[in-house]
Amino acid sequence: MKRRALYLLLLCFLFNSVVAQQFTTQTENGVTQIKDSVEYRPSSGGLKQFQKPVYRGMSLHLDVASPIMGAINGKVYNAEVQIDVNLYRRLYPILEVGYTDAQKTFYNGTSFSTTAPFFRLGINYGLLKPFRDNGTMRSVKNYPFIGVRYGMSFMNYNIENVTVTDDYWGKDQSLNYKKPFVYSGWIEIVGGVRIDIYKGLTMGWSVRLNTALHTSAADKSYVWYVPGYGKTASTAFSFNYTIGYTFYNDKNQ
Amino acid sequence: MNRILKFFAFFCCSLFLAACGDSNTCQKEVNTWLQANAYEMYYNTETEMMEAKALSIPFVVYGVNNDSVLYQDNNISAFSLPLNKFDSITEFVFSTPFVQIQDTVSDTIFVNDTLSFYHQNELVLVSLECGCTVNYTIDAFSFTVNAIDSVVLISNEVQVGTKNNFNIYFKR
Repeated sequence: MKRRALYLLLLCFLFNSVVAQQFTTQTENGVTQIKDSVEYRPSSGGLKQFQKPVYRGMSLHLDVASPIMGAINGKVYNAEVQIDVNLYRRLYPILEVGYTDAQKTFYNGTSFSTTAPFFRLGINYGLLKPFRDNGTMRSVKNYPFIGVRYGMSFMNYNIENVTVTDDYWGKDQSLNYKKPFVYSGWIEIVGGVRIDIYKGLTMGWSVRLNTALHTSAADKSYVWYVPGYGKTASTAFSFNYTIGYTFYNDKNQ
Repeated sequence: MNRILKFFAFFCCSLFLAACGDSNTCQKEVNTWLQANAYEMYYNTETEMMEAKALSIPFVVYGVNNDSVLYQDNNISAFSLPLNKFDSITEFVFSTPFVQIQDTVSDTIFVNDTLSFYHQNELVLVSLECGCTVNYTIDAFSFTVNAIDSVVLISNEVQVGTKNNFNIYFKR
């Protein structure tokens, strides 16, 4: 029920954030003037969306949702920052770095714990064209995007209190396992929105589908949680809500 | 813009449906049992040979130095026995009725036999929810011959899903 309420809230925020965009036009004396636009380029067939200069700025964001989501899921503590670069106002290569401390105790008394950093490298693709079909430039400070990531984590984990019981012969034993280094990698498909609230102060959110998990652990079922990926036993879905600042290279963007 | 809104609505809904809760309970079998078939020997007058047929008499089985009876008065010919998870020797007592004829008087007595297995144990972690299972490898076995005619080892690997490990043949 908690998850459903959260998802509905996300959808509401989606619609609100899209409505917040203002791309109005005014027509005065036959001349079309476009708000938030710096440059007018006459429409021409074959105008390319990727116009120089290439570098348009960079963003630094802090995820504020993953700590909350982790607390809802149990004793999972996450911290994550994102750095992305604006290229052509359409492509956004991104690096995400985070740290996770996860603990879980199962109904049979077995416990799992891991503490490790994680990294995600990928790219976002803005869904708004920098130039309209008539050739006028569009402000792309607020935009929806889709993206792909490759995530990786170099983790260690402990499994404690694995109880082996012999019901007939009347003995039991408790075992512990400790794995000092395990590499895990995965692929993410991301969709989200980035909004410039005020002069570079930026907020955004994204939803992710994590898949193609591969690990050097002897068995994937030994690893309950992979930092950056989530629980290995279920479909890995995650949500990020970020707050940060965007440094524009082009002030008229 | 409408197309983008529809895309995101669909994307979020699909992820919502995909985010099903995972089960924290064990969904696998972790107990391993020594699987056995029991037969009784009889003389086939047509072939004039000793042959075996499925055991048709009830018997009692329990572990040595263990008060718990595993099988009692069960008219079965296939059964499962628990090997010791923390020891390399497991012994069972088979108590079967034996008809004794003396001076034209028949009397049914219970005859006990001990069947011993010498095995190696391997603890294997199945999953965090299920814990460990034990895989056994039987190195040798021995038995007394009061009511038991013979024991044949079919498979010395005892794991989850093993169909048959040994056949035991009783005298009749």
